[in-house]
Amino acid sequence: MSDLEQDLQIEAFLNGDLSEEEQVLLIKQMAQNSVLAERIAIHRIQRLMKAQMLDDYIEEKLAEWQQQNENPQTSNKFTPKGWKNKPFLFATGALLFFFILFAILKTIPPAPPTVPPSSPQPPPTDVESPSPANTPPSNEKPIAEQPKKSTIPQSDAPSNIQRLALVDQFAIKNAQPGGTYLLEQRNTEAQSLFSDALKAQINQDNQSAIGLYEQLKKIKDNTLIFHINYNLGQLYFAEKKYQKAIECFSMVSENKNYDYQNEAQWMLAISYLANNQIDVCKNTLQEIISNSWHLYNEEQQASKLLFLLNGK
Amino acid sequence: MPQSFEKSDEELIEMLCAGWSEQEKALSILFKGDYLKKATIGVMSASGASNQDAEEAFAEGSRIFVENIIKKQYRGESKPTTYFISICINVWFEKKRGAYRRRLSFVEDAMALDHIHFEKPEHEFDLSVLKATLQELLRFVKKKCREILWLSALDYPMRDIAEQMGLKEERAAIHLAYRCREQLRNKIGESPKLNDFLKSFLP
Repeated sequence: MSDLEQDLQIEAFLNGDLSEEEQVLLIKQMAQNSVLAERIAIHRIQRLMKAQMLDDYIEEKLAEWQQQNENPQTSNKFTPKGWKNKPFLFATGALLFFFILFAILKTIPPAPPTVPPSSPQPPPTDVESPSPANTPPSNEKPIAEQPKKSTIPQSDAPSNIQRLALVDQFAIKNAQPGGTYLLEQRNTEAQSLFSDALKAQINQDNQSAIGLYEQLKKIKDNTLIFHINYNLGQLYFAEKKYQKAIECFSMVSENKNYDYQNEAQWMLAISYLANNQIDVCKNTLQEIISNSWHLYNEEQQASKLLFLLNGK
Repeated sequence: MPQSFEKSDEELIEMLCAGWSEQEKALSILFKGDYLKKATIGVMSASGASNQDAEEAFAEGSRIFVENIIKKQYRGESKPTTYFISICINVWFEKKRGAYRRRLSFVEDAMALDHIHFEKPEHEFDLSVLKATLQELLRFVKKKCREILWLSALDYPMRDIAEQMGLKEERAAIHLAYRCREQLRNKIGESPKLNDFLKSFLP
């Protein structure tokens, strides 16, 4: 049973949709398997979070409606919050002004050397504090033809120090190994080996874990192959064996239905970066960006990294 | 008779019995201006309630009314205003009889439904601490996860959630929900306080 299937079973259990037999079995398993018990606990917390959202909504809306009644002159029409927001209007106005200024400057012939060239805001150089990049960088050449003095190095590739800093900044920290729900299962030889490997990985005994996973890979008809490769990818990455990490993450990220496919694809991009394969890294980031519900699009991590890579 | 709301009763009933976005619009219309409040206080005063009683019943009744709409307990048998005022009058009557207890919130409802939890009396929660912890966790939850939580809180099936969120298929929504739980578990794992909170849900 995959993690997803197990989640559906837990939801059915909490909704009271399981048969009595299935319920008894699950409760029995829960008592024996701490990982499963924890998963069920997370589901229960999440159900309470949903209930809290509804409670908060009611409180908030009633307060809002009450306030509207106290201020009858306020329009009740739904308007985007931003339009009532003075700083927002000011920022929009300022942006518009700079956009017009930029457009005018673009139409003016090259400036005489005494006049300092006007250019768009340079990309951030400080790796530790990238500016929020809400939109992907434009591919247009930023007034490249104009003679321009800039303190920002314009080479395409980041320096090694910058590259490694980006790897450190964007790599997943304390990643969860795949298949932890199988930690206590030892019905087959493969399961026993996998369980041992997982325990070694959790205990940060990377060398033993790698040995066990590699041993497991040799077993034919292995249903655990995606978990094994995902976990091996993490371990090789931690050991700075980036080429091997790339091989593992690459295999996993091709399976769109795998539970950690998004993480694997992200770590594939980071492994390419760590391995100094910048162009392939950028291509992988583009693939992530094109997938609107990818986990690493949620806070625009992929766009931010691509922006930093293109800017350096 | 002056127009009380922007929509007719029939339109409002239809909206209140429809999906969430329509319900929200209808609620906004009902609570816009002070017609509903004036009507409620007027009816209650005519029934002998003091102004203060009516104000209190209106505040509590509003909460119950919105809750019932979200829970889809209103099926349009009576006009929205009649339904609303009857809730307020019930609150007032129960208060007068001394039988009034604050109704369960959604969180308390969810806990009451969780039979396994109540089998273990040592898992007593301080409700205010529980709510504060849940709010803390909600602040951590990312935008898409919040969206999926909200839509499933409104009882939308995964197929509709996928559609509303612009996901290709139901499985994508299930997958996203799974990821959100993983993020939540990692977040909880980072904090000893939240870890203790998690432990209180273990069998």
